[in-house]
Amino acid sequence: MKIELKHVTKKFPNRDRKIHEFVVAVSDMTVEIPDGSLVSILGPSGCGKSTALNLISGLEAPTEGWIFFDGEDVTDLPPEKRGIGMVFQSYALYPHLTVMKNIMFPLENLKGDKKLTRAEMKKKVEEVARIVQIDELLFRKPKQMSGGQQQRVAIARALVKRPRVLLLDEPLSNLDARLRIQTREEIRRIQKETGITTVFVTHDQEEAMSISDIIIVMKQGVVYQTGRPQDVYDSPANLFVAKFLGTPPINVLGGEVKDGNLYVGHDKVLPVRLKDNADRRVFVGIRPEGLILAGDDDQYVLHGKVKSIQVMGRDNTIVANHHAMSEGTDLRAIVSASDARSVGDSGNVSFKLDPAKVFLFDREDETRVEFEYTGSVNEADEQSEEEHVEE
Amino acid sequence: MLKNNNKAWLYLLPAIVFLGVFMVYPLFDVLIYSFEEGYNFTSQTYHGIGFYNYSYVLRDPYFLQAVKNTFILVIITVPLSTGIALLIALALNSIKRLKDLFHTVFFLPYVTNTLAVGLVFMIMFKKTPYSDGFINVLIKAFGGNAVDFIDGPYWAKMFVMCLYTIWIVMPFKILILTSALASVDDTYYKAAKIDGTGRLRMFTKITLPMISPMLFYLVITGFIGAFKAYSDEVAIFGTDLNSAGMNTIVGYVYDMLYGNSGGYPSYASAAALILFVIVFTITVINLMISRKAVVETR
Repeated sequence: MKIELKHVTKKFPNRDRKIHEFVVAVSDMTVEIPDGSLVSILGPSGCGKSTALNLISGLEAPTEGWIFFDGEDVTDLPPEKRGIGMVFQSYALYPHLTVMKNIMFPLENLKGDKKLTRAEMKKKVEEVARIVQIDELLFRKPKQMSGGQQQRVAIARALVKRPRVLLLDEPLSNLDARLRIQTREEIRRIQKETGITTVFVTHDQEEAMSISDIIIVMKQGVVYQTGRPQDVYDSPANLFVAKFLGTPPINVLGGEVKDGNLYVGHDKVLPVRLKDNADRRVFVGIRPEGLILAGDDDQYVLHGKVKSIQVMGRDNTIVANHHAMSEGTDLRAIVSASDARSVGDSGNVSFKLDPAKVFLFDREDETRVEFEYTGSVNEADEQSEEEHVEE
Repeated sequence: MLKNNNKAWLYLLPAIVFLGVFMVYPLFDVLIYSFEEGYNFTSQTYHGIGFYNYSYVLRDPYFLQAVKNTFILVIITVPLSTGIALLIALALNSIKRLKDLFHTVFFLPYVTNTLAVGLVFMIMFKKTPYSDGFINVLIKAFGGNAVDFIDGPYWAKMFVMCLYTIWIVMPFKILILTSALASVDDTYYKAAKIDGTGRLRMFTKITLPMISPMLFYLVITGFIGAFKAYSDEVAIFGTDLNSAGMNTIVGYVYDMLYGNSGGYPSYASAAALILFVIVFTITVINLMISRKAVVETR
């Protein structure tokens, strides 16, 4: 089912009753969640993502704006009439009931002509238990199960009524790292199998990127960008989104566009042209994989001083200093293990930049500043070909 | 290992000595007293061992009256006070405005002296040559006949007694239950709400099971407390409870020791042990029921 939020705003009274100003949890949010997709709402804690989910579920009513399910206005509809299933961060499994009874709980609430017989309920429970693969555990109590199993029970309970929308509020944050990866793939599988429109709230960008069709990046109640994970990563709309996505995070340096070149500190790093042809001071964001070890004859290079090399196995991270980086942050470059070997543990290092991995942002409002790469396109290609030969 | 053990006993010694002198020794003493026939308080002599004290107590109409009173008190006040306390706690939990004020108001009786409260109850219910008392004024205003609640018929006295007991034990129960209700994770209710759970079902299927350990704690301690009632009766009916017909088992024990007709520690001991057996039995039954009914909430 398609979900639309139109200019949705949610304000809460301040917790401190002496302050009469409202806290704006969600501000003028307008998004469209296509039918059958898995959408992640991503943002740091306190960004309003859980509130956004509660607004979709109906647990909270918006202060302003409208919410539509398949074109139908559900803004004033109570949660139970919206046809949703929800999984909470704590799972909220009833501790005194068995798995079977937990999953059956929503079915027992049905009234009137929707009322089911005991046998029908049991059948539905077993069906959904099979989908989430907990059919062996139906007679256990929640505390006799692992976190991952509890998680599945919670999903089963949310799915048993065949809701039109599945909402997941930080469903993986109580699991350990290995289980988290496993479970998120499981969630993806279940979502694909059931074709149910799913909204997933998380603060973990990796989690969001890996399983979503679309991600919605939020900060302080405002939607910063919406799009397919790869598109958002490759083309962040502003500095916040650029910084929030990617591990290790993007390198941000102070820079300047002057006379057709991009300078970072004293280093002339890229030949560029801005749309308005003007010179201006900018923030330069460089993805760690956009820093390529430079050869001796490269004209456009970024000089750094190696601090350490972090060995990760396949790729290594070069941690370096650069004078244009803000205090306390390091330049990080991901290079192949073989390339990393050519760099000493200390001393100088120079990188050339992959223009596709370089983003410029306005110094004031931190929005993206488009630029045109005016250098030869081949240079980067040559490089990659060379690498190819080496391998 | 052994050395460790010795050290542990050493640490426990003060508590053991204290408990031994003030708990264990008196308990055995009471047991012995209860079997010593014809014990003389002044000469501290007795002339036989046997069950006479028990048979005397069990045939004493005052004791039987006390047992009856105690049981009526227990059976009426424990369920009622727990139930009403739960209702008030639920209401307190659902209001937002003036919550703290109501918490304080409902807790006030707990910090008020029993005798002072009893005095107020007596003034409200007592009929004197000069006035009918506040409650009788109310009854008359609604067209009823005045009743003497303090010196009148048995049911009226029992009514005041029960009302008083409920009123006096309620604050503690409300306190415990409001915190029990507040400790139930709100997400359970959210999850239930999304699943379209009705309010009554939410209460019976989520709230009640989740607070059941506290509820049973209150019922068990409530039973024990009500069986041991005494000071509340004195507060309303004065020290001569036998003539008022409102004595309790503990009151009987006290009277046998120190009352106007007192000086019979053997009878008192026998009565105390009978009370102990009653309380013990009821508590065991309670625990057996609770093991089945109380759910594990964690």
